[in-house]
Amino acid sequence: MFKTIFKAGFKLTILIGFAICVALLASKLSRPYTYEQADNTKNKVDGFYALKDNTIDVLGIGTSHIYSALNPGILAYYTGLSSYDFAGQCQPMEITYTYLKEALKTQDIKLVILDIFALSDEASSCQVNGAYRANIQDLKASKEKLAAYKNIYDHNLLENFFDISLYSNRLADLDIPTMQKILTYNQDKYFGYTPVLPYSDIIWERPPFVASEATKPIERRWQAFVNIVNTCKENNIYLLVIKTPYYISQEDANIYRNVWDYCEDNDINYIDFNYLMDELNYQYELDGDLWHATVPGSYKITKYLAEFINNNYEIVASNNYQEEYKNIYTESLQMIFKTNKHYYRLREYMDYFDVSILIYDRDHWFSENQDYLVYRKGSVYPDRYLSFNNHNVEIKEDRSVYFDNEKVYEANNEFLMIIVDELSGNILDIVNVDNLIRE
Amino acid sequence: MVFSSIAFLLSFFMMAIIYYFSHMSFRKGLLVLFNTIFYLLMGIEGYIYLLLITLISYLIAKLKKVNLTYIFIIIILLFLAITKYFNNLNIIIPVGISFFTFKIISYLLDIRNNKYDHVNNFFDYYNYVFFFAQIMSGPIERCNNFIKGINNLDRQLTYEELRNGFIMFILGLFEKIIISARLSEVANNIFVNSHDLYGIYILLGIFLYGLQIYTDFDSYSNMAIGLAKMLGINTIRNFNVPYLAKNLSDFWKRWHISLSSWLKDYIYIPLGGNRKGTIRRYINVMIVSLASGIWHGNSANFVMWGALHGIGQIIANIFHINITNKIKVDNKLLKLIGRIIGIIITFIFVNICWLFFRLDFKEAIICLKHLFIFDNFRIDLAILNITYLEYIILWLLIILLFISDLFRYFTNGIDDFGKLPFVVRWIVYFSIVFLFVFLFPYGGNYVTDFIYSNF
Repeated sequence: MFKTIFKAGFKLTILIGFAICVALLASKLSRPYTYEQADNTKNKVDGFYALKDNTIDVLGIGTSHIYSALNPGILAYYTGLSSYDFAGQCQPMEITYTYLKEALKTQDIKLVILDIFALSDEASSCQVNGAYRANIQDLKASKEKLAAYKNIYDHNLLENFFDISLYSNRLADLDIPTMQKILTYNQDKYFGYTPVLPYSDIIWERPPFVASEATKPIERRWQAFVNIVNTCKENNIYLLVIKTPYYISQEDANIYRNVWDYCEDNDINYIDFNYLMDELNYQYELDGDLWHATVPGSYKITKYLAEFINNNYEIVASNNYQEEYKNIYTESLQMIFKTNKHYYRLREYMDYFDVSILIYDRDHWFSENQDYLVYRKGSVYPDRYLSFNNHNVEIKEDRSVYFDNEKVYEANNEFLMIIVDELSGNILDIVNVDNLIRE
Repeated sequence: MVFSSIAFLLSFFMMAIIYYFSHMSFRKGLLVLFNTIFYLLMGIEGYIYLLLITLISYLIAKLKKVNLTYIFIIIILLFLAITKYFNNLNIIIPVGISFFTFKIISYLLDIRNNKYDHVNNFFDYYNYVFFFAQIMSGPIERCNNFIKGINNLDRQLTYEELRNGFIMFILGLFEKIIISARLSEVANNIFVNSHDLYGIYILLGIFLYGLQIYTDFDSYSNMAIGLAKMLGINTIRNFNVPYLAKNLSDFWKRWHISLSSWLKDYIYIPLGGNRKGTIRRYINVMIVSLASGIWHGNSANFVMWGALHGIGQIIANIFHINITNKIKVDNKLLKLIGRIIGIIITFIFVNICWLFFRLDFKEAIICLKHLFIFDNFRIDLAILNITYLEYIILWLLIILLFISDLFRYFTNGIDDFGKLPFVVRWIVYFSIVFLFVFLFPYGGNYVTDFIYSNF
């Protein structure tokens, strides 16, 4: 009987081996060479694989906290560095470690920015099977991916180990126009960043908190964090550990205190933005909701990080994807201005961002003699025309707004401010000051 | 626990390892253990009921109490009828109740008719009733065949048995997961919208559903036979390429063979079969056909389905006696053409009858009316809710099914496959693995329960 079983087992092994080979091959073939616009609320994996090899300098890893706070467009604007938010919603720290290893296969990373929300108590509530599935399933089949499954409770998720089970749906939907479209190179437009818009105009105070003692996180999470630290050391990559601002609990503050101590002991830079909110003038709900930074908040955080990077690390920028990053920058500024409804915020933004403002000063607030003005960083001079990056913006005699000599706004005798991005030369917003909230 | 589930496959794999490496004399005992665990996993209440009627039927047969035999058969048939037809009574329905009830009845009547001796060892009989590979959807094995099989377990299992059993199982799995699941998806999409569809769509729906129900049930039977074979037990074949039957009588000798022969042995023949004249014969055919319909369900559509098959068999028989028998054809080609025409007519008739199996009576009638309204011959894939690629794959699989049926029609199936040259066999193995890997993700989402597990 043993001989029979051995013979059957041997042949079965050959067939299973063949099946695995076919599955791997099929996975390779079925994974699209180009990627449609990634689902920017969750999936950052497809966009990452669409990057060309060795084109990214800075990698943001962690949970949704990092991908809503680290804005690659802003970072590139202030540092010239190319970055990508390779993170996932409610991503457990063990999987963050997997992501880092996956990233190192194709990218020559110089700096890793790690958000440590996954170490917190609050993270436990969302680290459910669905989060594991979403964070693992899109990764390419590899031993790292297999290792990531170790922490999953629902082993049915293993069915997504081979890419074919995931990408087959895309292939099944293929028709001729889609096949033609797939030849077009598409990547994650925001480089993993998810722009979160402010939900409301309310401004509220966060209660104070004190990190009374250092509490160690759950062991396996901590081990994964240490693994990330070690991996960065082994690969000579700078590591910057951060915690973005959110409605932090006392327990979480204690856990972050522990991280802080560890970083100090190991000569790793650590920035907890929860302690920098006054310095950044970071306000709920405008700059962040309970959990995530909004676009204005991400600007403040990323700008702070950019200055920190410029002052503390010597990184030679690879200057890749500069056009794409410029677009993210401009689009971010557009979102910031267009979603703003407060007059005092507008005044703050006017000085904070690199923008010039063309003003029709109906009420003569800025100058008694001039109807048309340009404002830039506290200075005012009379003009009705602005030009940046081969684009021009003008308020003509009829008080209508023209962009590249085409009318884009019909005048209505309003107190108008036309916010112009100095980088792209585009109009970011046309503000009717009469409509702003003044309190 | 369906055979295609990961839980079952892993359990069976572990069970088989223990089975193979245990001493031969322990195998029957292990089988008792496996069968018990398998059924217990599906509910303790059902297990108690089945254990009880197994014990009683064993004692009745052993004591040869004729009156008790009939009373007991009536009781279990009544319970079967209550569970099948009075769902609102909230009774827990034991899994596979139809199949094990028929098994027990066949055993009691065979003992009553002295066809063979009662089973001495209760656990042998227990294994017969509880056999995990057959309990959910048959085949309805006869007791003497099964006992012959398990009495032959104290021997070395051959490599050919393992190999053939495994291939049967894998082919069954392929038929279910890859072929039947896809057919089911498209056929469902058509029948869900059957009120708004006409002509070519209804025709396609009927054709695909006919193939779906065949592949669904055939796949289950193949898996059951394969599993039993891997444990060294030979069970009966339940399907024998039914869609290549030359007439309706031939169809019923090839479709759900174990049920057809059960109906024949325990209803048709006791009623007089064809021994009491033509009219009585036709009445018996109608009774058996209606019984078959009612066994599937007590609603009008199942009665109609049974009645149509009864009427069809009678008409075919009249045609055969009065026309076919009187035409003497020596030419082989003409004979072949006649046979092919017979196959086509039978196929069309059987498939149209399936409408009453798939839909309730009113909807089936509407579909039948719509079938004959052809406004165009073009299929719009958006209506079928599938892509062009899926549609192509569907037809390629149908062609594959046809080729496999032709092989089974002209050969002795798996036994002849084993005699093919090494290279040919391995090409087939690799092809199956290849198709599984490539096609499973496209059809995996469509896999549904086995249709016959509802009966």
